[in-house]
Parts: sequence; C-alpha cells; structure tokens
Amino acid sequence: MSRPTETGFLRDTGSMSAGVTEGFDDFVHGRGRALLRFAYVLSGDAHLAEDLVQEVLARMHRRWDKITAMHHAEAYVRTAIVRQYLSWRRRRSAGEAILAEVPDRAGPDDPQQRVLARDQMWQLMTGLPRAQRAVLVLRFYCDLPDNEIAALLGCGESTVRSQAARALARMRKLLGEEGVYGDG
Amino acid sequence: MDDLDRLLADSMRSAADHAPSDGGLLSSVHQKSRRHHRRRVATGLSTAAAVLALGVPFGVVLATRDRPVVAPTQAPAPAAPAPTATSPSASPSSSPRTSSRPPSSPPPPSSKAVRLVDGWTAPTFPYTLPATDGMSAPVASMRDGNPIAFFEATDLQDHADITITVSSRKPSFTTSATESDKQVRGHTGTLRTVDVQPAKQLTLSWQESAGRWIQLATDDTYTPKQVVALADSLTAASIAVLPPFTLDLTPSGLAADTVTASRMTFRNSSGTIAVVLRKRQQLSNTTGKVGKYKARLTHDADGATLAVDVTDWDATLEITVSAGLTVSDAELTRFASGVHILNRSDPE
Repeated sequence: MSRPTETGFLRDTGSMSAGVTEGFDDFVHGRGRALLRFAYVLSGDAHLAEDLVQEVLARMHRRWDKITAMHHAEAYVRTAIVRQYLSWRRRRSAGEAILAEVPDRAGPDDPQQRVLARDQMWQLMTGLPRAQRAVLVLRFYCDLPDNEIAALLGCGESTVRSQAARALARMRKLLGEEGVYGDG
Repeated sequence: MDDLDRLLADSMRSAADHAPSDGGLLSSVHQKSRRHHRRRVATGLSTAAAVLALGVPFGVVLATRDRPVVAPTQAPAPAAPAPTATSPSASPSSSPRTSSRPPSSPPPPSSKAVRLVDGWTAPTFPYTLPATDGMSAPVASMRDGNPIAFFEATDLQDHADITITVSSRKPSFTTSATESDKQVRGHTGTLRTVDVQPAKQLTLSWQESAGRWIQLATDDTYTPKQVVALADSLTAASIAVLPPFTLDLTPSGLAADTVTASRMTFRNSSGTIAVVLRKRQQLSNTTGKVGKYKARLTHDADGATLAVDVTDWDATLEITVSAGLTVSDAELTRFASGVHILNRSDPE
C-alpha cells in the first residue's frame, strides 16, 4: 500500500492512503500539518500558508465524499493549494518583494555556514516570481518530475524547464556574487 | 542534483519546520466552510425571493421545447439504475385501485383527458457565461416554467455562485433593496442590492427582448461593474435541464414546468401532473402495486394521487394529477411504471 510522502504527492499508483479513506476531520487531523508545511514552503508566508490551506480545505469540505472517491485525494488537495497560491491576486504583498540585496554571507570557515546558506537561499526564494517559486518547490520539496509539474500547473514541460532554469540561474548568480555558492 | 539543488532542497525542508501549527486548523476550516455555505444559501434565497409574475408561465419553455437540442438518449443513462430494478413496472392487472372512487368513475365534465406519448425531451437553458477558471460548468433546472442556470464557484476567493433565471415576465421582488439603473446588453436594467449578512446579494435584471426577462443573482464578491460585465458576457447556448428521472412516457400537450432534483411538473391551462420524489413516508392502506412496489391510489377533490413505496431508494414516488386533467387509473400506473429514478435525484 502506498503512503503519502512528507510532501504528499503519491508517486506510485497504489491504493489510497489511510488519510484519504477516512473522514474529512480525520484527514485534516492527520495531514493538516503536512499541508501547512507545504503551503508555507510554497508561499514563504505563515499567514498566507494558513489562509491557503484553510480556504482550499473549506472549499472541499462539502464535497469531500467526491474527492475521497478519487485516488490520491491528498495530491488533489495540494494541487488546489498550488493553484490557489498562483491565482490569489489579492495577496500580492506576500512573498513577491524583489530582493535588491543578498543577505550577508556567512564566513567561509564558519561551522554554521551551511545553515546560514540555507537561510540565505530561503530569503532569496522570496524574490522569485510565484510561478518560478512553485516550480522549484514542486521539483525540490515535492520531488515531482517535470512532466507531473507541467500537468499540475497546466503548462508544458518546456515551460517548467525554462521557469526552473531561470530561477536557478538567478539564484546561482546572486549566491555566486556573495561567495556562498558558485566557486566550485 | 548539484550542490545548488541540494542546498535548495535542504533550505525548503528546513524552512518547513517554521510552518504554522495545525492547532485550530480544523475549527477554522469548519468555520470557513459554514461561511461559504451561508453565502451560497443566501444567494439561493435571493433568487427564490424573486417572485415571478404568473400568467404565461412557460412562454420560454414553449419556445425552446419546439427546438429540442438534447435527445432523450442524452440523459445520463450511466447514472440511471437499471429500470427493472428501480422503476415501478406495471401491468394493467397490477394497477392499484382507487380507494375513494371506482376506477370506472367518469371524469368530471370539465376534465381534459391526457394522452401519454413515448419519450421526453429535456428543455434547455438558452444562455451561458464564458468558461472561467474558478467556476464550474452550469447546471440547468426549471421552476414555474422559468429555466435557471446555476454556475457554482470553485474558487471562492475571486468568484461567487451565479444564478441566472430567464422568465417571460418582469420579475418582481418582495425584499427591500437599494436599486440603481445599469446599461446591460443595450438595455436599461436594474441592479438590486440587498444588504444582508454574510454577503450582500446583488441581482441584476433586464428585459432582453419582447417576452424575455433575465435576472442574474450573485453576491458582493463581485462589484456592480463586474456584475454588469458578467451579464454582458452572456452568449446563446442550449444547456439541457437535468431531470431527476427519465420518463418512458410523457403527458402530451403539457409543457415541462418545474424540473429540479426531486420533481418534474407538467402543466397546461387545465392543470398539472407532478412527479415528486419524497423522503420515504409510511404508506398505509395500499391499494395495489406498481411493479414490485406497493402503491396507493387515491382520488379527492384536488385530483388523483398515486404514491409508490420505492423501498430500494428509501423514498416515496408521488404522482399527482390535478382535478382539471383526467388520466385513467391504468394509464396513471403505466406512466408511473415508466419513471426511472436517477442517481442525481434528491428526495425532498
């Protein structure tokens, strides 16, 4: 039996997870934390993450029986979260600031360098356009292949690849400029 | 995966630990769900509050039924249970006898005999909105001769449910509201705003053409300008009304008047025939059977009623013929035997 991964997108075609077959409340109790983690990584904003998850679940609450009738209901919920995030025009203030400066780099001999580099990477992500950020999250947090990301976002694989390439190039450049990454 | 990729993945997984707690998530979701539901109910009520003047109750229906767009076979047959298992099949010998007058009683002099003909063609709703992300495809129904299309919002952040009703008379309203004139599709329309919680109800109505009025009801998720834009975006279409039953037989000369999830009503100037699926009621004093189901046929001053105890649907199918029309007991039973309950039906 397949089980939901931390990031919730089941990768095989096995039977549904236990959370899917249980009732709505059980699903929220069981998978709510993972959904919030996903929404937070996606949006970079705690309040927006809560709003996204609450909105999507509330919308699905009264049709939960239909959703659970499908395979991979959790993946369906996460897809809805991604689409909601991309379409939520009213909340543009969150996570779309263009970073003019990269945070101070950690010193090369600092044992905390890796941790700090992660933090810097996270801050850099906030400057990415939403679509690019979504592609990176689906690829690196959810471990989805490009064809599944394309299907989820309703675009072509080439679009996914170009969005990812642009985002990575930008991050590589900024981090390289600061010496956190890029010298080999 | 190169070092940047790994760093990115590590960064995301580390950041995820700072996600908000799920404490209170379920109660917040329930609260939000109830709010959405109230908005929908409110939208529905605002539509129902529009009391459409009677007189020529099915002018639009008559206009569309002569141009059938959907063949009877397009009814969702896969959703329909096997007729033999779910429809009351009748034979003349199984016709339930009336409990209040003999089957051979002559009809009142003013009654009009109804002839049953094969098949039924769904009426259609004649408009649609452009397909939009966040809105479901329309579902058409019919009340009091007025076709109605319901567009359900799936993205409640940017959209709201929209109900569009076409009628042959100017709609009248019973609730007090703020009204303003708007130019809609080249006509002067009226936008009514009813200030209620949790969302203000907006209803825009206008005369589309001679004998045709349209009203578009939604809530204040949309601005008045957006409501007018929605009305302007309507285009001609033929959306079949979804019936709760398929019918082997139809009363000839009677037009479909109401088609909802629980009932189909046919009407002419002499009276109505109503087929209603109700939550199961105890059926005492049964007078016979329709197929395998117990049934009770009664006559009174209001007409004839055949109630069928459809046990495997946990429902009672009730067919009523008003006093102005005459259907023989055998024909009424034959009509009942041709009613096939669909999965989409919802007993009232």
